[in-house]
Amino acid sequence: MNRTRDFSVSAPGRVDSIADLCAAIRRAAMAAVSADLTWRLEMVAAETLNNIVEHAYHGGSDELITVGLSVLSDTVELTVCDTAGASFTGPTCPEMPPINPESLADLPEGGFGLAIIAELADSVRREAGPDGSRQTFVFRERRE
Amino acid sequence: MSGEELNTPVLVVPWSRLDLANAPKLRDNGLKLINECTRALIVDLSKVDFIDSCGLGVLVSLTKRVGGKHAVTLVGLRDPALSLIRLTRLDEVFRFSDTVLAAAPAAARTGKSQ
Repeated sequence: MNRTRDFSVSAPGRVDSIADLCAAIRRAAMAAVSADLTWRLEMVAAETLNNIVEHAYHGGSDELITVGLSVLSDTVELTVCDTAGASFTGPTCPEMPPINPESLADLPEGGFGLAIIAELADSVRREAGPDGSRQTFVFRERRE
Repeated sequence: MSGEELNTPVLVVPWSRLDLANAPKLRDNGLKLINECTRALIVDLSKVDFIDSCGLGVLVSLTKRVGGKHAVTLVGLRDPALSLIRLTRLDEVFRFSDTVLAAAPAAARTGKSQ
């Protein structure tokens, strides 16, 4: 399979970097794929970056996060790399938190992030080592 | 529209993103706006084009604080943010409206019925 476009961008692992990294992914993606896939890529990037900043970088760090996008002939690969020694990984196939609108106290206020990633990406791979982690997400166009 | 209907608090989200960076500010603003007597809340999301799980969490948190199912009306929400609400099945929790004026009467009825 031939890689047709490769793109990567890096920024400090801070909360205020996330929107900029997402915007860079959105701009790179929207030139090559559908609006739906562009949103799925930005959504997965945002949730992954949130987890890294909050958990691997404990709220923020000047260590870099690098986000990459490769557009191939029938798939798009998103990679997110950090340099935290104890990176956040988490399960690859968590279920969406159950919603019971009639039970106010049980409505979940969190726990959506990894489930959103699992729903929107077609495959998820997380590799963590002493020098950080590399998370790879593969996407395909989805027809309505 | 009666004065009572217009008394439903309206929380405007002034950002294009409701995400990890902004969600805590929205929670703070929402908590300042509502009190123990508030039974309905309108959240104007017409400027928002991206919501992440942190933004969803704050909307759920405000819903629980105000009073539960359909107590919060989301105004001006459009795709792809609307797709995220459906994906998480939170569309069963919120009420939706195109404009604040259209949302106010139903929000006021929700407040009265609880």
